[in-house]
Amino acid sequence: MKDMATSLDETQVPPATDPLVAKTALTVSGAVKYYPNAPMPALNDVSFSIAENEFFTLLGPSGCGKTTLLRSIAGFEDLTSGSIRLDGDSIESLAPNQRPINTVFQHYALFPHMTVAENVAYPLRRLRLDARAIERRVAEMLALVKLAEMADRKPAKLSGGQQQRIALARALAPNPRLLLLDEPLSALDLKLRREMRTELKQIQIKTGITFLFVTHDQEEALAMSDRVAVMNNGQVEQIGRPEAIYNAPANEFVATFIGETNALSGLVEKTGSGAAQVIVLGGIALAADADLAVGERVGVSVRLEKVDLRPPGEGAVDAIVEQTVFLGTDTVVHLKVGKETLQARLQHTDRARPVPAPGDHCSVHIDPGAATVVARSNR
Amino acid sequence: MSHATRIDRLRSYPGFGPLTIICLTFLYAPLLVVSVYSFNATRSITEWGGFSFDWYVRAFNNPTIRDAAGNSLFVAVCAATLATTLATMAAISLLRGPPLKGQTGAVSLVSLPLMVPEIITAIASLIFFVTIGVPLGFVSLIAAHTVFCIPFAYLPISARLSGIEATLDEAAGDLYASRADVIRTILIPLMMPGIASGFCLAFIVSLDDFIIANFVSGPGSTTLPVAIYGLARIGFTPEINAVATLMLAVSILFVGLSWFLGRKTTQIN
Amino acid sequence: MQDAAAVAQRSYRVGEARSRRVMLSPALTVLVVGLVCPLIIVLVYSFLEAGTYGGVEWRFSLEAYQQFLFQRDIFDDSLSFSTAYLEIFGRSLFMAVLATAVCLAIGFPTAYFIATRPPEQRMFWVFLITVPYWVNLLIRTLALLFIIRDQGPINAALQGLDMIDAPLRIAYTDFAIVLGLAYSYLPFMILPIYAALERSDTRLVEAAYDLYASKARVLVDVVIPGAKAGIIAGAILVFIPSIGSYLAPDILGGGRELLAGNLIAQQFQASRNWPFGAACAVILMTVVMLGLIQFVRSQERTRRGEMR
Ligand SMILES: Nc1ncnc2c1ncn2[C@@H]1O[C@H](COP(=O)(O)OP(=O)(O)OP(=O)(O)O)[C@@H](O)[C@H]1O
Ligand SMILES: [Mg+2]
Repeated sequence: MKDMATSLDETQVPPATDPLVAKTALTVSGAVKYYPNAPMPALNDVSFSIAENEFFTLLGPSGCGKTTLLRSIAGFEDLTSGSIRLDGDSIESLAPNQRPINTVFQHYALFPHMTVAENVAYPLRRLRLDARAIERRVAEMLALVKLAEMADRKPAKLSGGQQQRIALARALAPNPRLLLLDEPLSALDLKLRREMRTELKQIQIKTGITFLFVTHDQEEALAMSDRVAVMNNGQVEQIGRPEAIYNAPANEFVATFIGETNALSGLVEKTGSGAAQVIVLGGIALAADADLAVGERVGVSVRLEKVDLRPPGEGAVDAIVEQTVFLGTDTVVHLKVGKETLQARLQHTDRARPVPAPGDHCSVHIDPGAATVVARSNR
Repeated sequence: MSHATRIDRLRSYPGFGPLTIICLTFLYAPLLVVSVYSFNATRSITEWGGFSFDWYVRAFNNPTIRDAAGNSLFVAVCAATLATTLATMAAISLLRGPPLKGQTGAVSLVSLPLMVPEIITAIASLIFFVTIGVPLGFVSLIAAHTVFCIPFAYLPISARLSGIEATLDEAAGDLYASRADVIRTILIPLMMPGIASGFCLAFIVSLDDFIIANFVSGPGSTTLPVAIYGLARIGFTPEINAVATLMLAVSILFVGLSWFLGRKTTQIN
Repeated sequence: MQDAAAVAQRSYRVGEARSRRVMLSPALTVLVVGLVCPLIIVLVYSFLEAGTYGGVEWRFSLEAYQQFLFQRDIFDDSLSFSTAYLEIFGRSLFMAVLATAVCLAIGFPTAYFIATRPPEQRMFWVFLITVPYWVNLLIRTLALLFIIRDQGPINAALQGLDMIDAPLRIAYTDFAIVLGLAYSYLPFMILPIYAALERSDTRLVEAAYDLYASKARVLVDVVIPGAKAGIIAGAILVFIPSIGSYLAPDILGGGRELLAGNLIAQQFQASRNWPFGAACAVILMTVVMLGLIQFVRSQERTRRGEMR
């Protein structure tokens, strides 16, 4: 199966400031991991590479193998097969304490019997740096995470957000080649999570360290990443820039996992060179950049905000409003179009256009370029 | 109980409370009576002749008791130190990392001294030392007590260690610590309350032991319980009450300490 | 700033199992040399001939076990079946069972009472129960003797109140031995029952009341089955030290009525018949092992039951 969307995606283009000089930091190829006594692999042929200075995110639902992949890279698990290379050298035979890779653990794993400063100094001591250099580096790191005044406190006396920053400072202190972050923000409340998101990104830019970030929160992934790899069932479904993942999902899983979407069934009506026209909802024509055959049935994803509601008769097809759900900044409208259902997201910016009420009649318009073909049914 | 809820009342049974009081009285009354009489100025059991420290002074001046007390302390410190060291090493190797080959066997071996009746341990140690030609004395006594104390030290140490998240080991490993570094800089400091608690228990067990000491101690290494037994054979004197009360106090002190340390550790996690 | 890439080649995972084994070995060696070997030597000695002045002659012999069941006539060397030692073991068994029953009768209500206290009070009650265990067993036994003996405070009080004329004979009786055993090992009964009760589900009790059970029925149908694992554990923990007990019969029984523990000890003291003492120890150990196997089985059964 070859999807058009994949070929459009910028998988191979490193996003760093200057793509021409960016060099590869980490390469994972053909990673397979079976846990003992587990019938299904936790990782099933995972391959990707991360460029230097890149903020790369692994995004996927719970249990898809993100942690397993991260632990394999850190050296806590052995792969069943496949290889992991850092700067071109295989690191599989190295123990965790021999890999120039550091991890920010999900629950921070700060050493409770050491002060904040001692925690940050820990890796530097193990690397046998001299006392002066350690002191300087610790101060530098605490300043970076804006917690210089907390240096002598024990971790238990810090808030969750502060502990998070210390864990980050500690992992960054030895200046690793690669920083692994396993859902580092998941234990924080929503507001703090948003703040930390910006801050993480800034720190990454400031330090220039390559980040491999793991999350199941799509908003987090889209907001921070240079590139995102969407994982499911131990496999990588799609790799690309956030916009590409959102606007051109490679398949139905990616389309439904990222953002909200209408999964519609379409019929191919016209084909041209690498382009086609697909009809959905019995009357709306959409453009598809794929090699399709006339008469073929395909799955089409249309984002909620791409559905435009117009007064009856002005759009391509008529619809009846079934239900409206108020969500603060916008309202989701559930529509019935013939026998099919459709959802639209109306932003509350346009005062002139009132939100329709259940039972109202209206018509639907979708921009021809707004759709993505995500699946082809086997005729 | 003023805030007893309905279910609390339903769950309570008449007589269980009084039985608990009887149970505690049964456990504490003999100890209490002995302690009280250790302060009695007269020798009599029936009459209270006033408060006095006489019997304590006499006990302290009794060379048999003094020497035995010194021996007991020396043996207990040595045995508890050895047992705690061995138990700490065993706990770290058994509880950190995937199960070793023969793990269950090793764990049951550690608790074996608890399963064997003490009298059998005692005569087995006696036969063993005689067979291999170790003269009965401090060496045999300390060796036998070390073996016997290992499970008592192991219990609080392993409990404490299992409470330390394995992610901390991983985090240290991730931050360039070797296995020895992890043990030295992370595990031992965090296990310290458990280790102290284990030491206290091992110390008390060694100090309290009569049966093993009775068989494997030599003429110069008589411990306090063996000496008390000898004195009690001759006749019950208030001096014995005084020593018994002191030993009681030491036991309660150490167990209280061990308990306190154990509780403190659970609060950290 | 030294780069993390320049990490010294120290091993973390490589040989981890080996280094753990090395760390474990001192403790295991001490236990094997200090306890397993001695126990094996006891087994070996039980099959040797007694030396004239203590110790053993290195000749294989079943005499020690023979002596356990038969009496050798001094004059004609003929063997006749004798129950003397069997009776000692029988009495030890009987007293251990009795002590276990007494402990259960007092221990269960106590454990239940503690388990139904408010959670923050429970640890204190448990502490109260544990403290006596850590007090020197010899001292505790002597203390018990102190208060139950003829001139002791109990008799003094009873006589003072004119309730009895002559002192009540408590010390140096079988009753005193059972009392002493129960006194020694009561905490062993309470703690596991308490642990089981505390873990058991209160909602089951609520459900039973909801389904019209009476208080007694709830106790029999819900509470006791829920604490079964603890009761069995407690019974074993009291039974094992009781059957091998040395101090309680020696001090409270006045050393006249022998129990298994004293019989064994005697062979290494006054009687100086090591092989016979070793044989008795082997027999006692076998009884204990049977108890332990029963214990492990019942633990496993309840664990399986919980998983279902
Ligand atoms: N130690 C283990 N032994 C056996 N199976 C495991 C082990 N760890 C993880 N798994 C299984 O491997 C799969 C992937 O787990 P993993 O922890 O990598 O998921 P994840 O993507 O990190 O999920 P989450 O978002 O919940 O953290 C899961 O099905 C899990 O059950
Ligand atoms: Mg995970």
